[in-house]
Amino acid sequence: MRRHSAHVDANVLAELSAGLISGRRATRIHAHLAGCQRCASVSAGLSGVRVLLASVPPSPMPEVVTARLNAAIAAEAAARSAAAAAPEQLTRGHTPQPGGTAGGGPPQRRWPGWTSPVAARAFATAAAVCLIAAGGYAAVQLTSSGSSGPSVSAGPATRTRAGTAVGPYHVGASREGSQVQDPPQPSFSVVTSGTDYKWSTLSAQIESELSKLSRVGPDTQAGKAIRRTPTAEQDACALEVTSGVTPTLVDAARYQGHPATIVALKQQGDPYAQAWVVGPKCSGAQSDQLTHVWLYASGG
Amino acid sequence: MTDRIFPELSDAQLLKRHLQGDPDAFGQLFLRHRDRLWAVALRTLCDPEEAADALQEAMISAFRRAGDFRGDSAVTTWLHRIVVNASLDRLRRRTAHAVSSVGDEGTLDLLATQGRVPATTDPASVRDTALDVEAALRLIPPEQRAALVLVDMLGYPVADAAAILEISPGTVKSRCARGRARLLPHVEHLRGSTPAAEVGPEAGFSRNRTATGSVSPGQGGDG
Repeated sequence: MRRHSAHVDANVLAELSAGLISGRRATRIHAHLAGCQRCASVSAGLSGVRVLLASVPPSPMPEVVTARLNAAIAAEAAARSAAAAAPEQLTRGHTPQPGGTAGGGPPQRRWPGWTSPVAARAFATAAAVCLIAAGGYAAVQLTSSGSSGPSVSAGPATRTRAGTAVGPYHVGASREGSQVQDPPQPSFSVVTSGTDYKWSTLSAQIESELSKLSRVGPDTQAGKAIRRTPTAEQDACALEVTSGVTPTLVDAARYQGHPATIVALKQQGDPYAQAWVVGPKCSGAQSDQLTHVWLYASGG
Repeated sequence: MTDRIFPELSDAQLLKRHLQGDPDAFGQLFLRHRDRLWAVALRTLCDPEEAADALQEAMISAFRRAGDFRGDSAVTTWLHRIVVNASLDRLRRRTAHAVSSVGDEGTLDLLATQGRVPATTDPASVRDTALDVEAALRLIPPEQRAALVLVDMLGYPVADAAAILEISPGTVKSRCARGRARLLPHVEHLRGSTPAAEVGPEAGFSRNRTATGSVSPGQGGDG
C-alpha cells in the first residue's frame, strides 16, 4: 500500500531494522528507502539511536550503595540466623573455648561475624561473642583470634564477612559515575569524649555518644564547646572510612585502651547505621580500621 | 575481586548454600553481580537514589524468596528479573500521571520542553551525553525503556532480555523498535556530538557491540 510517494512511519522503520518485518512488505519499504532521502535519514537516525545507547558506559555500583546493600543483606542474614539460633547460644558474654569447639560444634555458625583482620591481629587476646540486639534484629560480633571457632568442620560458612562487608570500602573503585551525587562537603565536627570504647560494649557506647551529641545542638554554647573542626587528616580519614558520606559522629577517643577514632554514620531514618573504629594511621589513603559495627535501630 | 570467599562456587551453588542457612552466600552472590544489577536499575529508573532503593528492595526480596528459584533459568536471570520488576514497579508508581499514556505525544513534548533534554551539549563530554540519554530515556514508557536498557544499552542478547522480562523475544524486539522510534526526536541533537557518530549510522544494523556485549546473564557459571 505504501508506494514510493508515501513516507514510512518511524515505528515501521524501527521494526524493519529489528527484523520484525519481512517478505514483500520489507522489500517494498527497502525500495522506498532507496529513493526517499527523508525516510532513509530517519532510518539512519534509528540506527544512530542504538549506537548512541550502546555508547553510554555503564558505571559500577557506587561504594556507598554497595555498603548500604551489604548492610541490608547482612541484617537479613542476621535476622534469619537469630530466628534460627537456639536461645541458649545467644547468651551475652558467652565465651567459646579457644580451639575447643571445632570438633563437636554445630555444622555451621548460625550467626554472621564481621571481623576486621586488623582487629583480629590487634586484639586477638580474647575471643568473645558480643550481642547487641534491638527491634528484633540481632547484631552479633565475633572476634576471631584465628584459633577459635569451628573453623574446621564448618568450611566456608565459618569465615567472617570481613572480605565482603568491609572490603568494598577500600576497593578504591572510581566514583566517576556521572549519576552519583557528589559527596557532600565535609560538614562534620570532631568531639573528644574521652571515652575508652570497649569491644564488648562498643555499640552501646557509640549509641550513647550519638545521643549525647544530638542533645547538644551545634548552635548552642555547650555544643560549640565540645565540637572541633576536623584536622585535614581527620577529615580525609573520616571520608575515606565512610566513602565520602558525612559522618554523624567522629570521636577522637580510645579503644581498648589505645588511641583510636570512632566514626559513626547514623542518618535519619536509616535502620542500618554503622560505625568504624580506626587507628592513628587512618588517612585519606588508608583507613587503619580496627573494627566495624552495625548500629541497629533502637527503640523501635 | 569480589569472590574472596567463595571463588569456586557457581551462582546456583551459592544460592543453594544460602537456602541451607549459610549467612554469607547471598551477600556473595550480590557482590558478584552488583555492577550489572546496578546498571539495570540505574538505567531503568534514571535516578541513583531510586535505583538504590529498588535494588535494596529487590535483594531483600530475593534473599527471602530464594526458595522460589526453580532453576529453569540462570540465577542471574532470576536476579535481574527481580531487579527489573522492582524498578518497573517504582517507575509505574512515579510516572502514573506523567508518561504512562503511550502515544500521548503531547505529554512527551511537554516533558521535553521542561528542560530535561538540553538543546546543546558539550561535544567533548561523554558524561553530558550520558546524562542527556538518561533524560531522554525518561520520556519513553517504562516497558520500552526496560527493553532498551537491557538490549541496546547493556548489550544483553534478545533471548536473555526476553527471559528476564518474561516476554517473547518478538515482544522484546518490538518494544526496542518502538522505544528507538520514540527516542529518536529527543536524541537527534546528540548524534553529531558523540564518538558513536563516527561509527556511522550503518553500524546500528550490524550487531557489533562494545565491551558490554560480552556480558550476558547466562555466564554466571550455573548452567
